[in-house]
Amino acid sequence: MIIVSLLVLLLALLGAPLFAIIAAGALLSFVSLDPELGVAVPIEFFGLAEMPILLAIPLFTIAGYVLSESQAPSRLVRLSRAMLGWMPGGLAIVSIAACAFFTAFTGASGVTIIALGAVLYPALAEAGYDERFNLGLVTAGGSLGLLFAPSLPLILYGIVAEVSIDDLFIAGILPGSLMLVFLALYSLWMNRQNRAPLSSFSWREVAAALRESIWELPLPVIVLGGIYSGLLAVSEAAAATAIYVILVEVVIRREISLRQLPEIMRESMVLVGGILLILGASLASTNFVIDAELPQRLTEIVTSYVDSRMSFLFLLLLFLLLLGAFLDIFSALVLVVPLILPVAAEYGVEPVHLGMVFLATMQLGYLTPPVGLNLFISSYRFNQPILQVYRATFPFLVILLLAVVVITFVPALSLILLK
Amino acid sequence: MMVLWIAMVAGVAAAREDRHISIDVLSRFLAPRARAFAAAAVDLFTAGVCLALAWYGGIMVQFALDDGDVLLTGLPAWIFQAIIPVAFLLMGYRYFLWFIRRLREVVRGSA
Repeated sequence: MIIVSLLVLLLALLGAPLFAIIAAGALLSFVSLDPELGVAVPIEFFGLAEMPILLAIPLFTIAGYVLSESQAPSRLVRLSRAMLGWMPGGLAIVSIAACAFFTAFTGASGVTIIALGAVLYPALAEAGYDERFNLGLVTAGGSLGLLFAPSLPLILYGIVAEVSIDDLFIAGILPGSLMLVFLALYSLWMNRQNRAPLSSFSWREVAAALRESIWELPLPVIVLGGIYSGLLAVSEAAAATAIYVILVEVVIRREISLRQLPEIMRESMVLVGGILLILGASLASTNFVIDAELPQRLTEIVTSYVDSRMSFLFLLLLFLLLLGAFLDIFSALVLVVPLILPVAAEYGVEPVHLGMVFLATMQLGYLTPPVGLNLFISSYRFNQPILQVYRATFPFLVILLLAVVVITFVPALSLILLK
Repeated sequence: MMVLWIAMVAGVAAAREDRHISIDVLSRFLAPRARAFAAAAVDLFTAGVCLALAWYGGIMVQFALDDGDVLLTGLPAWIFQAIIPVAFLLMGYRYFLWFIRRLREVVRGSA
């Protein structure tokens, strides 16, 4: 059994699809009890059908992919530039804001770097920013909006932890903003020599940019307004967003032809299939894990060694950093959250706060070697050696880590808006 | 119900392009031949898991057929469940094709 487990682990590290690894684990566990129990795996997998809220995932993904294929990214940059460009160091702040907004909609799957990076990277260089700074900023920006609604990881955490997704959407506002503010301050400090504002503030440019983005502007209103007001359920808001985005970019603006649409949908479905199969397989493995009383045993072990909430949070942070360096955010969510949720509850850590810590730390995982996704996408997209990208991104990683530490040890930041 | 079907069809699409989410930390450090060999092993493993899932999925559908399970919509449950074995069968087939392709690379590399 141990040899088999090690073999499966080796295959995982060699790049076997994670859904297959998780399913293999679940199959082995059930079959070792009784060969006929293998049928439990597809039965648990069928549980996906009983989670209608999951529909939000494909719908938001399609909306995000359509947006990124249209001209919306450059319109977004123009608008942020018109509104923030007058500040010293404005373009860096523009980049941070635009990346965060865009990632919230596209779910940090690297789409941000590809869609927005193409606009921001040359613009930053043109404005006289340091090459290395630009590379780091765009790479770090690619996962920045993770804590803002309606990002996929936020929704998935709500599903796995059985926490209200509406609450998570509200809870993410302050911790997410904290990360943005830290990065903005760092950018201002780094570019204190290059403080010439990008452009003077012009009402005319703001008006022009607003007019140009008139169709995209209602999007946050549909999603956030709809959900926060209680008018729309999450999956309804997702459907409204997907329909609206397709209507705008395909029918009204015609930036995407009808013929391109199936290709974009297929592209987004590859991501959706990846996420949902992992979730389905994990339903089976989680069930086994719970049957085997692993969470209880883990809780007992942890509580016998760790006595204070502070030291628990500290260890949690270390563990999640390590986890994020190796596992992608979706698999980490479905595999690890069910295990640590009861342990965290033992220390009085609220599930919403745990979610913020978890997602914020996993966000750093996009930037840490060896498997940080953003590093590779950036290296590929901007044609830079991977080591160069590591070096450029490192200071941003440190700044974001500071923000994560604050988010971890100041639960009020995540919880205050809920009370 | 729709979610399950979307998930399975999307899963087949991802398998076709071998773009399922994975953590690939080791193969980067391997020599090209060893990497092709590892990729072939990984594909064979994935194909095997998919086929096992299809097999047990088939048993699940068989159970539903025997028991005459009906869902809330009034339709027999097996219709909805059937996507699981079918999709995993297709995924297994896809990964088997990937396995053959990569095996060829290994063989060609040695020639």
